[in-house]
Amino acid sequence: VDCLGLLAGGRGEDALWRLAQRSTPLVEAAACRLLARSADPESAVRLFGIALGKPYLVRVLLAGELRHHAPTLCEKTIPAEVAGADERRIVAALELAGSWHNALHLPDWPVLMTHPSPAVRAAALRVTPLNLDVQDVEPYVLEALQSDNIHLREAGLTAVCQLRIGSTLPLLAHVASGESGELARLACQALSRLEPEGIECLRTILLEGPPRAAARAAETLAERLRPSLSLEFA
Amino acid sequence: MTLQDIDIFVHRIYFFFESGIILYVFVINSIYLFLTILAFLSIRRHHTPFSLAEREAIMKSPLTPAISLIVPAYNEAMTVKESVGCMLKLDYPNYEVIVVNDGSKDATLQILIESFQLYKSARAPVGTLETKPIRRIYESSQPIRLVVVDKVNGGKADAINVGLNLATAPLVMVVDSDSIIDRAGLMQMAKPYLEDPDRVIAVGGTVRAVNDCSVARGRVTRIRTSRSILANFQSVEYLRAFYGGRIGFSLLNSMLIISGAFGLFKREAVLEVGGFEHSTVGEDMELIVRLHHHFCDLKQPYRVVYVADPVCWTEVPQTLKILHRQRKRWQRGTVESLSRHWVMMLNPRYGLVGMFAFPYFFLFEMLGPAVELLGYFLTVIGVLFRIIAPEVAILFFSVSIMFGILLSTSAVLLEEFTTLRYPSWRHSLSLFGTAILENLGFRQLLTWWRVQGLVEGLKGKRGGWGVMERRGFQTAPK
Repeated sequence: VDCLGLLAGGRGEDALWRLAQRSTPLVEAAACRLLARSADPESAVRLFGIALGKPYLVRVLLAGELRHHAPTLCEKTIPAEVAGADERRIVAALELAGSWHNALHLPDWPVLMTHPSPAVRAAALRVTPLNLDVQDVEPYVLEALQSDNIHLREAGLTAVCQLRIGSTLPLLAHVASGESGELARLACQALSRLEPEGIECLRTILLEGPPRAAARAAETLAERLRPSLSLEFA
Repeated sequence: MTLQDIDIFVHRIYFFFESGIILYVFVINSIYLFLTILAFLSIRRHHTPFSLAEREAIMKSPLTPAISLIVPAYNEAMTVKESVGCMLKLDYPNYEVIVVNDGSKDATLQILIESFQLYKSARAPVGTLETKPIRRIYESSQPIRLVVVDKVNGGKADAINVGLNLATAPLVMVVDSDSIIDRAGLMQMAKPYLEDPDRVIAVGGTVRAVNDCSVARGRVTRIRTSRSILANFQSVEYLRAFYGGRIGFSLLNSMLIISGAFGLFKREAVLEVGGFEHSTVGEDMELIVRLHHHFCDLKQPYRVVYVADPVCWTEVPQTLKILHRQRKRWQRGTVESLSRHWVMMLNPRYGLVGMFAFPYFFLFEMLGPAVELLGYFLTVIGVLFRIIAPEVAILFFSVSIMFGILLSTSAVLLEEFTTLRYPSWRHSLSLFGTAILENLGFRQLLTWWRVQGLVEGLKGKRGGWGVMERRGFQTAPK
């Protein structure tokens, strides 16, 4: 594959396009990477389309190269892709978009949030802070935070961390003081962004909450106020 | 009944047992051979390491999943600085190292605090696995996140569970604190997960002996065979176990063990089954059997995979006393792991694991040493009492030893064909010599020790951390 990349003209490129679409994951990824390096916006769009249908490893190997084309892809290609019917492709497209931290245009975001698949809803929630067209996020986030699906709740908390929605405070306080694990840690982080009420809430959990919740609140407060609180020479 | 009738009866009984044992030896060696052939066929296709360009792409990729490296440590003052230093220099873009000091009695904690400029941290556990209390958590201000947990002694499984509670990454890797991982080891271990993130729940790598290899700046810089014949025997044995057995079992998705010294797991899956089990000495094997048990029960598709390329270098015992203890512990671990999940035995609900791997481990790994020993005993008695001809006995011993030599040399050959770690033919030749020699006494000694372990396991003997006499890594000359 590397040698094909050195061939000038169309022959090498044609062979690379063929390999990019039908081979083993590593060969596909190598061909895609070589094509992405010298890709014009049109080829980048085509490569992005190919990558969405490939195994996760191919997307991991390509994410860095395609990042250079993120503005183009986020503006037109991804909105068109998420309007499709293939659930796996939608999730993969949103996952790539989220990893680039590039501004997105998703006018169909409310449609994604009512998608029957929780995986699509969670992926859409995760990219909410990047979406320039988003409006009326609150009801969807509140619904996600109260969902039975752990991945949706996690995505909701991740979104709240960035969006700082004041009305979620009682729910966040409940999750932070009552539950255990990753969700509680995320809730603490979201609370720490909601100054001053969130910080006050964390202080209350620290003083009055159950031991595990108090420890998490202390950790979050220490991270927020670092280095004065958290670091002390051993 | 005449004396002659009794004699015929004894002969018949004797031949019945002896034939059974010969059949057993034939079956076990045929399975080994089958697994080795599978390994030969698959190693080039399924065990290709990442190229330099791919490694660079993964390093740059924002999609690369985070990994928490959990390093349980108990009385590791001799090697901990070098091995943790190595773990902080791995080629992976997104990882943290969590060292769990399980109430060491030596200076392990102090060395870590001083060597890595640790600070007291406010970090709190995320997971809810029940463990012994944590005394204090420390963190390093170095670019790669190093977390050191000081806790009350509770055993290796307990220490790993503390690490699991603190880990926040979707993948966790468990590595012994006396080990050195290849620079690209973390990336190679993550490869099966990246290829199939929905199904892969555990990945095992290769463990090899580091004795007498040169180590500099946290890397194994010169690989060579050891000056100790005991260490070399174990080198060959490890090659046989990893290249011969595990590749084949991995292909059949029925691997029942991932070495506790070097394994990568999906954190969610391990937490789902309740973490590592405290009450067994074979916590690594028990976890894998439990994962199979759990996911088969749920009828969820999953994979437990072995990859040959990433190597974890570890110091192997150089005294018979320590090796004896280690092997007894391993055998006890096998007994405990199998007996806890006995319901899987020959149960079609558990697929190939229940119908092939479990019976194989029970018949050949657990009972194997006892049957082998019984075979030797019956053959010697048979010759002494003239029940069997000396030629037959010699043939039996020769075939058994030749099979062993064939398997050991095949494993060395596999190493030569694929990873080729040894720098010159002299080392490879020495390894081939060892592969022959280890079948003439060493293997039989291990069999005897494993029988002792089997008896202890059946009696239900408990145990904690294994004791290991450390020599420290051999520093490369400047």
